[in-house]
Amino acid sequence: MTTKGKWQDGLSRRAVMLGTGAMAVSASLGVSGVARAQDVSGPLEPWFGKGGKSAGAGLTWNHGLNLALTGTGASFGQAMTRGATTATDLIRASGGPTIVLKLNDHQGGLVPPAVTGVRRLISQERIQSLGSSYGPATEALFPLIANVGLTTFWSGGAGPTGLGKTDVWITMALFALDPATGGLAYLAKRFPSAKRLALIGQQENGTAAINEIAPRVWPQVSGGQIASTEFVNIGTTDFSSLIARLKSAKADAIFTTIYGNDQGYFIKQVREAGVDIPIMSIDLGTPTVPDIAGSAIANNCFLAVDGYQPQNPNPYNALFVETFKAKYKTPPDYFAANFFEATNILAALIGRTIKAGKTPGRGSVLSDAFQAGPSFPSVYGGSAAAAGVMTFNLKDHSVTKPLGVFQIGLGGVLTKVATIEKNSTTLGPA
Amino acid sequence: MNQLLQLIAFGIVQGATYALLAASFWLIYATTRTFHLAHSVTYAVAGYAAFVISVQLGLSLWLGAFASVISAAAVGCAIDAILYRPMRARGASVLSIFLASLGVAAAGAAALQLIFGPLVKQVPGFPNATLYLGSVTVTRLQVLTAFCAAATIFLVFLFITRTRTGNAITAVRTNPTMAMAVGIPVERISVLVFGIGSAMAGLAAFFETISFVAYPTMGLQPVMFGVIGVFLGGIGSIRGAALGGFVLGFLLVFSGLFLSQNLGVILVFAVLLVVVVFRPEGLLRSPSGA
Amino acid sequence: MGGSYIADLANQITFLVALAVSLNLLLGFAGQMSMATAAFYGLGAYTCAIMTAQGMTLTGAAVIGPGWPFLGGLASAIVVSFVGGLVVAAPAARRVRGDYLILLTLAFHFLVVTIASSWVGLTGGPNGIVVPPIGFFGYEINTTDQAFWFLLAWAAFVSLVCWWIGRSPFGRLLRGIREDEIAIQALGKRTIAPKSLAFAMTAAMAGATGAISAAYMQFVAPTTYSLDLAILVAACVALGGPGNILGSVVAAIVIGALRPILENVPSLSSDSAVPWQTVIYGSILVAGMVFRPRGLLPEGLIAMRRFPREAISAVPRVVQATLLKTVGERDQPALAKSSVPNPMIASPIVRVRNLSKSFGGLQAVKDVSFDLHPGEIVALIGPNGAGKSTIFNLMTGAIRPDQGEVTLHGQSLAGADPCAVARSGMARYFQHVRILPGLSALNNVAIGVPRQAGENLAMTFLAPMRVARGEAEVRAEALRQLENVGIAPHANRTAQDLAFGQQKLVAFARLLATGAQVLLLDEPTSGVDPQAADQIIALVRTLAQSGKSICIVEHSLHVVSELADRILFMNAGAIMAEGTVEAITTRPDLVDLYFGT
Repeated sequence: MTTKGKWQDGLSRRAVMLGTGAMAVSASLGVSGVARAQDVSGPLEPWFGKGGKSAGAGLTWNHGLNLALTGTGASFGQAMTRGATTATDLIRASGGPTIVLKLNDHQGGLVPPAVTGVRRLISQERIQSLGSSYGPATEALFPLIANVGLTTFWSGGAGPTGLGKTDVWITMALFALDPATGGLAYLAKRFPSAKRLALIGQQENGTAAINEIAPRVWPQVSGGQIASTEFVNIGTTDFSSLIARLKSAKADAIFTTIYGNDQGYFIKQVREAGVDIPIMSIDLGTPTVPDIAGSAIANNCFLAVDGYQPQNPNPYNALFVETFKAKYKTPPDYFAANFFEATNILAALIGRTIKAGKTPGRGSVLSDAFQAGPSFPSVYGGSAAAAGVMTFNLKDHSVTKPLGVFQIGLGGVLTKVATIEKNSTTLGPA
Repeated sequence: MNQLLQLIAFGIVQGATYALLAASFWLIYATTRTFHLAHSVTYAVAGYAAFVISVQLGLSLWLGAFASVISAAAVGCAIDAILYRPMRARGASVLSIFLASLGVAAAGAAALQLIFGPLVKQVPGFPNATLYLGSVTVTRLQVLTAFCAAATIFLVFLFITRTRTGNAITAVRTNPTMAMAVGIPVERISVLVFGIGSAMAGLAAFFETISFVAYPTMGLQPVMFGVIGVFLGGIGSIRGAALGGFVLGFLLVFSGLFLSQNLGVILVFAVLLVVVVFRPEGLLRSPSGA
Repeated sequence: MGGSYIADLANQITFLVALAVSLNLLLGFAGQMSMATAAFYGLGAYTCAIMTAQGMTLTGAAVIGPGWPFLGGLASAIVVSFVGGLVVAAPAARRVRGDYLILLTLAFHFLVVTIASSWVGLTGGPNGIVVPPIGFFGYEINTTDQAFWFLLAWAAFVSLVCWWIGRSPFGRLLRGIREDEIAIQALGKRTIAPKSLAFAMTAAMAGATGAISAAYMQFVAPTTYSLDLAILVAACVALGGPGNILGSVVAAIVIGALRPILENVPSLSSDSAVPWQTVIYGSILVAGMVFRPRGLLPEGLIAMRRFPREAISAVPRVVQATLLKTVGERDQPALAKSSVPNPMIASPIVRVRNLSKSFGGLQAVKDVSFDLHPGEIVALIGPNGAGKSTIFNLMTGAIRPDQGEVTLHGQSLAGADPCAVARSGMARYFQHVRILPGLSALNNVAIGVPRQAGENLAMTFLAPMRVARGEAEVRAEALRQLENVGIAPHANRTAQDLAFGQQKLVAFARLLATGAQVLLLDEPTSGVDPQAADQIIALVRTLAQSGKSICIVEHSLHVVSELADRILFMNAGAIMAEGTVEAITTRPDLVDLYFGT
C-alpha cells in the first residue's frame, strides 16, 4: 500500500495545521476529537476525521448526478462521474456512508431531459441529494429542487443564477465572474504594453464578465481601453469572420469567456491566423479543447480560474490524484476535481447531521449542517503540507476557493503563474 | 482595408469547402431526388476512417485520406442500395424517403458514439504553417483544402459534361423516365452518383478531421450547409450548387465586415428564406445542362 | 413542480401527442411537409414565458413582459403562433412546394431558434426564462400528478379538434389539395385559404402546447426547441399514418415511451441509454418507412367501415336501372339528337372571341372565335398540336390569352383563374383524369359539390348540426352522381385501386357534382374500354339533353360522330372549318389533314 504513507503524512501535517490554528477546515471536524470504539481510520481521516457509525458508515445514500453524458459535452460528464466515483470509494474506505451515484444524462444541456431525468432520480432512484452541471440544465431544476428540498451541489458551469437558492450550493468559482477581475489584472501586469483589449463572449452565464466587469476593470488596471466586444453562438466552429474583425481591431490582448469545444476551435484558428497576442480565458474544457486546439493552446494562452493542477502537491489533492490514476489510468481534470470535492462535502455534511443527532435526508437538514462550519478542504491551492481551503458564503451559497492565473501548456497542462482572489485586482505569487 | 482583404481570403477558403459540400449533395439530390440527410453519417464515417487508419493503425495521412474517401463512397452506395432503391421501387413519397434518411442520420451518429465513445478523436501530423500575404494570413492546410475542393468540383464538372457516363447522369437528372426508355441503367447511375457524391463529402470530412477532430455528429452542420448551398445556388446545375455553397461560406465570413458573428448566422437563414420564396430556382438559373 | 416521475413521463407524452396530431393536420391531411413544428412550439412557449414572467430574469435584469396570468400567456401564445403560421403559409401556400417547403420551414426553424439564443434582452438568450406555473383563476397546478389531468385533457382536446377537422368537409378539401391541387382549383375551390388555415391551425395548436409545456416545466431555453424535436414529431405522424389521427396518437405514445423504458433497463448504463435509444428510434423510423410507408394505421382504415353496408348493397339495383336507361338510349341516337334545341335560336351561353396565344415564337392559338349554346355539343377536332387543349386552357383561365376574350353568361372571364371560372359555371374534365388517388370514389365526387358549408372551418365548429346536415346532402348528391355514371358499388373504394375506366367515370361524376352549366371535356373516352366509352357517350348525350353546353376535344371520330351537333376543325392554332359531322367528314382536304396523309 503506497498510499498508507501518505495518510500518515497527512495526519502529522494535520497536527501541524491544528497547531498553527491557521485553517478553519478542522474546526468543523472537532467532534472527532473524542475517539469511539467503532471509529474507523481511513484515507480521508486527515481532513474529515475518523469514520464509523457516527460518520455514516453502514448508511446507504443515493446521490444523483445530472450531467452531460452524451453529445458534445460527454467528456465533461465522464470526468465528473469519475471524480465523484473516486470520492465515494475513498469515503467508503474511510468509514463514511456508502454513497451510490445515480446518473441522469441531460444530453449536453437540454432542459426537458434534465427536468424529467432528475424527477426520475427523485422518485425512482430515491436520491437524497444532487450534483449538477451546466447552466440551463441546472437552472431549470430550481423549482423542482425547492419543491422536494433536495440539497444540490452545482459543480459545473455554475452561474450567478444559483445564488441565494435555499437548497443550492455552488461548489466552484462562479463561471467567468469570480476570476475575471484578477485575470484582467494579471494580463495588465504581465503585458504592460497591452492597452487595447478585445472581448469575446458567449451569451450564457459569463455575459456580465464581458459586459460589465471587463469594461470597468481593464481601464483601471492597464490604463487602456476596450478595442472591441463580440459575441459568438454556442457551438461555433468557424471563427474566421471574427478573426478578421479581431485583426482589424488592432487588439493587444484577448479576454474571452468562450468555453467547451468552441474554445479549442477559437484558439487554434486565432493562432493559425498569425495572431499571437495573449489570450486570457476563464474556462478550460479539458480534455477536448487541447485535442482540438493542438499546439496552439501552448502559445501565449492563459486561464484565470479555480484552475486545477493534478501536480499540485497539496496532500488532499495527492490522495485524489493517486486514487484516480489507479482506477482510470489517467490524471484527473478540473471537472473530476470539482465533483470529487463536492462529493466529499456531501459525506461530511451527512456525518455532521448524524453527529448532531438528526436523520440525514431531504429537506433542509444538510443545508443546516453547513452552519456548523462553512469551510472544507480543497484540492486547489494549499501547499505540500496542507490542503487548500474552500469557504462557503452562508448567505448566498457561493464559495470562495483558491483561484489562480495559469499558463496553458501542451495537452492542456497548467502552470500556475499567479494567485488571485475573487473580485479583486490583488495578485499574489504563484 | 486589411480587414476586407482578410475577410475575402477567409471567405474564399470557407466558400471552397462549402462549395464542395454543396456540389456533393447536389450530385445525389439532383440526380436521384433523394433528400439525403444521411449524408451526415457518410461524412462522420469518413472522419473516423481517417482516425482508424492514421492513428489507431498508425499508417500515413495519405492512407487516411484514401480511407476517408473510399469508406465514404462505400457508405453512400450502401445506403442507396439497401435503403433508397427498395423505397423508390415501391414508389415511396418524398416525405418517407426524407424521414428514412433522417432515421439513418440519427441512428448512424448514435452508433458511432457507441463504437468510438463520445469523445473527440484527433488526427495529428499534418505539417501545418501560417502563410503571410502582407497582413493577410491563411494556413497551408486551408490553402490545400480549398485547392482540393476546387479541383474536385472541377473534375466532377468535367466528368459530368464531357463523358458518356456524365451525359447519362444528366439524362437521368433531367428526365428519368426518358432516360430509362433510351436504355440508360438508371439504378446503376443512382449508385454511381451516390458513390461519387459521398466520396466528395469524404474528402471534406478528411480535411476537417486533420484540421480539427472527428466526433459522432460532425456531419450534421456541413451537410446542412451543403443543402442550403444547393438551394441557394440552384438545383439546375453543378455550377449553381457550387456557387451557392461558395456564396454561403463567403457570406457567413464576409458578413463579419458589418455584423457580429452570431448575427451573421441569422443573416444567412434570412437570405435563404428570401431566395426560396422569391427565387426558388436559385441564384443561378439554368434549366438544363450541367 | 413536485409530483411523481410516472406522471411526468405521461405528461411529456401528452405534449408529443398534441404536437403529433396537430402536425398531422398539416402534414397528413394537407400534405404540407413542415419541419417548423419545434419552431412554433417554441414560439408559443417563448410568447407565454415573456408575457407571464415575473420578477427578475436569470441574468438579474427586470423582466420586460407585463406579468400576465397563465391564461393570458396562453391566449397570446395562440395568437402569436397563429399569425406566425399565416406568415410561413404566405409563401408556402402559394408557390413553395415539396423539398422547397422542407427547406423553407427548416430555415424558419433555425431563424426562430437563433433569434431565441441571440436576443438576450427579450428571451434571456441561452439561459432562458423562468416561467410561473400553470394556474387558472387562483388555482395553481403544483405537482406533475395534478398537471396530468389537465395535460391529458389538453391532448385529448387537440386530438378531438384535429379528428373533427379531419373528418369534416374541410378536412376532405385539405386531402383533396394534397392529392391534386390543380384538380381542386378546377372544381371551383380556393386552395390558398384552406392551406394557410391548416398551417395557422397547426401552428396555433403547437404554440398553445408550447405555452402549456413552458408553464409546466416552468422554464424555457432555446435547446428545448431543437430540430430533433421537429423530426421526432414528423416521425410520429409518418409512422402512425399520415391522415390518421389515431395513428399519430398511438405512435406518439409508443415513441414517447421509448426513452423512459430504456432508461429504466438496469443493464444499460445512463451514458449508453441515449445512444441506444437513438439507434432504436432511427431504426424504427427507417423500417417503418420501408415496410409500412403509409404508417401503422393508414388513412381511411376506419373510414372504410363508416359507410353502412346496407347502403352499398342497396346501390346495385339503382345502377341496374341507370344502366338500362343509358343502354336504351344508346340504341336510339337519332331520337337523342332530335331533342336538341336549335342552337341558332337560343342565345349563346359562351362566346369565345378572337383568342390568340403564342408561346415564344410558336403561335399556338390564332384568332379563334366560336359560341356554345345551351344543350349543344360542340367538338373540337384536328391533328395533334392544333391547339385544342390550349383553347381549353385559355377558356378556363389556366393560361392567359395574348388577345381576345371569353364571356360566360355575358360576363367577361378576363383575368379569372380556373377556380373563378369553375365557380361561374364552366368546369373542365381533364384528359389525364386528375383523380384524387388517395380518396374514396365517393369523396372524390363529394369534393366537387359546390358551396359546402362544412368547407368553412369556422362553421365546422360553430354550426356542427348544419354542417352535418349539409354533409349528408353532399354525400347523397355524390352517391347520386356515382349512380348516374354507374359505379356506385365502388363508392367506398380508394380511387387509385379502381380501373382506369372506372376512374374516368368517377372524374365524370365529380364534374357533374359541380353542377356546372358548361362542360369542357378533354378526350373523355381515351384509354377506356369500348363498354365504358359507350357509357360515357350516353352520359354526355343525356347531359346535353338536360340543357348543359358541352365542348369536347376528341380524337375518336366515332365518338365525335355519335355526339357532336357541330364540329370545329382546327389546324395550326386556327379554326379551318365549322359544320356538322357530315359536312366536315366529307371534305377530303380535312380528312387528309386529320389523318396526316
